[in-house]
Amino acid sequence: MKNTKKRFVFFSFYDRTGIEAYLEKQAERGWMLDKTSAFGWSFHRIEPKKIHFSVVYFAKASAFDPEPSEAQLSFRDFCEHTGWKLVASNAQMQIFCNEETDPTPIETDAALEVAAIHASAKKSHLSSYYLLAGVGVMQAALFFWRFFSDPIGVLASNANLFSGMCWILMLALSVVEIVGYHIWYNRAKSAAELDGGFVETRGHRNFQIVILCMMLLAFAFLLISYGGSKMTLIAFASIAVILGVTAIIVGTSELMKKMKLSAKINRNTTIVLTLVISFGLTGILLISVISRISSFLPEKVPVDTYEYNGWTFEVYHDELPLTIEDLKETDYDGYSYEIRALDKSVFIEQKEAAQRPRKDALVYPELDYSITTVKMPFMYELCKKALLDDFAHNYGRPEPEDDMWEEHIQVEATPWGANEAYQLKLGGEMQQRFLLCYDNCIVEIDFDWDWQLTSEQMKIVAEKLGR
Amino acid sequence: MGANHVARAKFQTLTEQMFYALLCLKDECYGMDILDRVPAMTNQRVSIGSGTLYTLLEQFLDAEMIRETKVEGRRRSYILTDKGREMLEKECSRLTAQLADYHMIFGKEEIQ
Repeated sequence: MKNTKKRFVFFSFYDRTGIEAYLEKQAERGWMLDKTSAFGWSFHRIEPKKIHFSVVYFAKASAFDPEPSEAQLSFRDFCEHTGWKLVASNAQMQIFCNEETDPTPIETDAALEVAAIHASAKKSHLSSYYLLAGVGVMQAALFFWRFFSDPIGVLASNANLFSGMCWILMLALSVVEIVGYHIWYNRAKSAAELDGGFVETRGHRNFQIVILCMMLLAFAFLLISYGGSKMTLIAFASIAVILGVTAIIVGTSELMKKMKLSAKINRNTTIVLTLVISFGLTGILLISVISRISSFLPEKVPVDTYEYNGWTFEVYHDELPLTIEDLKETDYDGYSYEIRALDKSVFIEQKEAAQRPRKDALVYPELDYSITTVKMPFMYELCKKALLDDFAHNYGRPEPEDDMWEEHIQVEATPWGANEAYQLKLGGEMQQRFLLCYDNCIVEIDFDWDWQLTSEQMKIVAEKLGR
Repeated sequence: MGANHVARAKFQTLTEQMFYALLCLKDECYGMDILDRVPAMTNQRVSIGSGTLYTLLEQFLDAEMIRETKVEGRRRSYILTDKGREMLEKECSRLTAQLADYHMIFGKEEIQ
């Protein structure tokens, strides 16, 4: 039988009522608290009994104190005098227990107690939540800006969706904690001044657990979506780096406490260390990703390479869903067939394919197309609009009379077997470039300018790509 | 609003706990001893929590209502200052006036 246990405990920082009730229940079940930390609360086994717990806040204490100050020790002496023994402390939070039947509470003046909680909150957790909310607002705004400017880029990337979701969840958590705290504080302050009563705290324990579960589920989903590729390794490495950095920062702070360095030195060093490591790591990660970006992409091995005008070109023989040979006869056998998965998420999958002749045989036709598969019907219209905007765009061309003015012209969709079809008009001339909207996918296909498409060829495109 | 502000606002009228804590300091006394003296003085009717007393003593010191007389390790003793005495007297007058008003309405025999 194990005599110790460790639990990850979720409580709002000011929820003294909730924490006391939790610890009293643990004692009734035979577990006494030993230590609280960010990495879990430790318990040891005791004879199950009724023990009173009191969570009080000593605002002058700091998480960076090398040891309890004289004032804090004196405060503890006062508590011990009335039978309250210190069980654990974490920064301003002090947890005492008392085995007497009906002990005098440590705090008997609600107004003073509420003021002490508020002073401690402002000094620690509340400031942290304000900082988190600030960063969360910026990140969420960035996510939504990207979502509206490039919805497919965001929706097709599980990594983008994951990071966006995490920041939105962090923002929700910090807002709930901040608002919840202020609602309690205002009620508690008024009640204490009115009739001296203490308004019991109500934290957001369940909400915190739900947020954590959602983040873990999102991460699990991200890993599954990577399906054991190199990206899985990167995802795990990122988590390991975050945990490692946290351990280094916490470890350094603990070391400084052991070295009896002052709280001020400890706090300032920890802040500088956190900033340096965070920015340094972000930089290293960015440089390594940029310099080795190709190694993170799925490996593709060309079947052949050739030199042309001093450049090396690769030849692929990937299996394409639609080839020139499907559409018309050709006696040329030097084509390169290449398909690339651009991105894939639970919502959208994008692939692009190209069939190109060698550079020394450009007289032969070539074919380019991309397929955007929309897995969630409710996102279809959003994707269609984004692709149409991209299909004909006129950035920096204010005049429709411009030679390069692009517009999409809706054309007859039936020959393509599509629901809607658009053709590109460039500088007033129709191009052999089409955007075809099928039930679950949108195809953008580009033929040579002199390719006169027959209805039979359009039907083949529908059969091959429109399913 | 910080604890001091709460206390300053409260010092206009003392709470029962403040009143008895100050009363104990008529003569020099260890802070911690107040925890035992108040229940004894009030026949267990009033008790001051240890955390509450610690905060009150700090605030009384800040407001110069008491002064420190002796420091022995972490044990400190205090005594009431003239200002503290004034506060007590003011509170006593207020309570006496309250009592007099009560008597005026109900008469002395009504007190249980």
